[in-house]
Amino acid sequence: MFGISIAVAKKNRLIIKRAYPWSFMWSRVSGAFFALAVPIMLYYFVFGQTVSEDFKAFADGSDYLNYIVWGAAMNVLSFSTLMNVGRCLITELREGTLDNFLISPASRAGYYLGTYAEQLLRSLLEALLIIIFGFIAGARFAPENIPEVFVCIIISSMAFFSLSILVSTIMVYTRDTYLVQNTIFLCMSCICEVAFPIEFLPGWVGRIANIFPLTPALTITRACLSGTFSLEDYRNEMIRIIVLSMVYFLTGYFGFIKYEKKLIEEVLA
Amino acid sequence: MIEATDLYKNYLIKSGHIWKRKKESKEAVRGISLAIRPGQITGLLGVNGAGKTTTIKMLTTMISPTSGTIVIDGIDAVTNFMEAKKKLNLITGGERNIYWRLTAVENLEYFGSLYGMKKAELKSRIDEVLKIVDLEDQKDIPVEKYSKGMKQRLQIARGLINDPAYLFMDEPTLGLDIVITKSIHDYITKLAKNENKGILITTHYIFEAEELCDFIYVIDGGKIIASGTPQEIKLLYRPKKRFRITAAMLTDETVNTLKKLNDNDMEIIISQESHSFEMKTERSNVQKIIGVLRKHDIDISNIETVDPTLEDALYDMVSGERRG
Ligand SMILES: Nc1ncnc2c1ncn2[C@@H]1O[C@H](COP(=O)(O)OP(=O)(O)O)[C@@H](O)[C@H]1O
Ligand SMILES: [Mg+2]
Repeated sequence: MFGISIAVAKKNRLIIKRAYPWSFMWSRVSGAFFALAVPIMLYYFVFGQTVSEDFKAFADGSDYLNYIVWGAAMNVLSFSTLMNVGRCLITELREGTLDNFLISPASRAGYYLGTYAEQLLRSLLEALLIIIFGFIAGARFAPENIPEVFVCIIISSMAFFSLSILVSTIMVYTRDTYLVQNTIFLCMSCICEVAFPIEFLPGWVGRIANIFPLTPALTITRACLSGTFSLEDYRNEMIRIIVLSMVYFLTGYFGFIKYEKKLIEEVLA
Repeated sequence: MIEATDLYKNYLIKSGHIWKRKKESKEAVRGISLAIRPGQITGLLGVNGAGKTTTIKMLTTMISPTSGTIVIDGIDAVTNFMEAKKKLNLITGGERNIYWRLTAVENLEYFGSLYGMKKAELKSRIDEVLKIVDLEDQKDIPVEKYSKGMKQRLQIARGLINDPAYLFMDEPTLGLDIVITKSIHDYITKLAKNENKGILITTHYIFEAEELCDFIYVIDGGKIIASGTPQEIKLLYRPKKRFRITAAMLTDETVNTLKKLNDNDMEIIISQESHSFEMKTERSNVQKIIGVLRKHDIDISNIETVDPTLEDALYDMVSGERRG
C-alpha cells in the first residue's frame, strides 16, 4: 500500500512542478491575505484596537488579531487539503488517466494517502505564509506553546484529509467540482469561527458548523496558542474531531469502493 | 489459456426521477463462449454496439458477468479477480490514458508501481518494454512532445509493464492513419510471436481482423454468429457482387423508378456528383436497371464490377443473421 502512496506522490509532484508552478498556491494565499487585511485595518484604524466583551468571552482566551490570523491560516490549510485531495480522482477521470488505476490491483487507500502526503508540505507552507503576514501585522503568541500548536495542526490536517475523501467521492459521483467546492468553501469560511465566534450566530447555524472538522480544530488550536488547552476541558472537541474524521473517511472510502464498479461500467467505453 | 463459457451481461439502466424510478435492463452480451491461447492473436469482430467492449470488460475482470464463467490459467477470474488482474492488462485506443507532462520512463514507473513492482525489477522491465516498442531513444522526453504514433506505442509499453500473459486491446487502431496502423499491427504480431502473449483484439475493421488474427469470432447483438480462421470466415459467406454504373444525371423520377425495382436483395447507392451509382445485386437485376435507364433516355457511359469489400461481407453476414 505504501509503495502505491510513494508512486502517486512522486507522480503528482512531477506533474505539479511542470504544470502550474506557483499559480494555484498564489491565488489561495493572496485570497486569504486580502480577506485578512480588511479586518486587520478595521481593527487598528476604525475600532482603535478595542473588541466587545462578548468577543472576549467567546474567543477561548484569544486576542482579536490572533483569532483572525489563525482562523485564516487554518481555513487555508483546510481548503487546500480539500481541493488537492478532493479533486484528485475527478481530475484524473476528466483527463482520462483514471482507467489504468481502476484496472490495476493497486490499493485505493494508498492512492489517497500518497496524494495527501504530496500536498501536505505545500498546504502547510500556504498556512505558514498567512501566519507570517499576521505576525508582521502585530499578532503575537508565546513561543513555548508552539509544539502543542503544531500537534493541533497535524491532527486537524488529518481531519481535513478524511473530509476530502468524502468530497472526492461526491465529486466523482456528481461529476461536479464547481458547486461542491464553492458551497463547502463559502460555508466553512462563514460559519466555522474563521473570523468570528459561532456564538454570534443563531443556534442552528452553530449545529451546522459542528459537522465541519474546521470548527473544533480551530477551537483547540486557539486554546493551545493561549496556553489554556487541557485534554479534560477540550475533551468534547477532541472526540468530535476523531469521530468526524472516522465517519468522513469511512463513508468516503467505502462509498467510492461501492461506486467503483458502476464507474467502470460507465467510463472506458 | 483463457476460457470463457456462456457469458451474459445485463446492464441495469435507471431512469426517471426519485418518485418514479424506472429500471430497465439491457442485455449487452448474451451467451458468449470463447478461448484465448498464448502466442495467438484472437479477434473479436463486430459493428458498433455489438458488445465487444462489454466482453473485454468482463474478461479483464473490470465488471462481473451476470452469469457465466471465466477461467484464466486455472484461476477463476470471476471470484478471484485480484489474482487474475496480475496476469493481464488492457490497451485502449486513443492518446489519453498516459500522463502528458511525464516522460515515458516516469509514466512506466508509475504504472508499474500500480502492480506492486519493486524498483530494480521495474527498471529492467522498463528497459525491456521500451525496447519492444522502439522508444529507447525518446524515453526521457515528456509525452506531450511525442507524435501520435509514439504515444500509441507508449500505450503498448504501458500494457506490457506488468509482463501480463494476456493482453487485451479494445480497438487499438481506431482513428489512426494507415502508416501508424501498420506499425501497430507489426508490434502486435511481434508480441504474440516473440513474446508468446495471448492477445485478444476487438475491431470493426475486417481487414484488420483478417490481417492480424489467427482466429476470429464475429459478434453481433451480444452473440457470436461465426468463428474460425480468417480463411474459414471468408468461406462462410459469399458477398454479393457490386456493379458500378456511370450514367448521365438521374432525375428524381428515375431514382424513384429504380427504387421500386429494389427488391430485398438489391441495394442502390447513388452518387450525384460523379454521375454514377452503385448497386449491390444479382447479375439478373442489372438487366432490369439497364431497361429502366433506356426507357428514361439516360445515357449509360460505363458498367463495371466492383470487388466486394470485407465490410460488405460483414454487413451481409450481420443482416442475414438479423433477418434469420
Ligand atoms: N454502461 C452501460 N449501461 C447500459 N448500456 C450499456 C452500457 N455500456 C454499453 N451498453 C450497451 O450495450 C451494448 C454493447 O455495448 P458495447 O459493449 O460498448 O459495444 P461495442 O464495444 O461492440 O461497440 C450497446 O447497445 C450499448 O449501448
Ligand atoms: Mg467498444
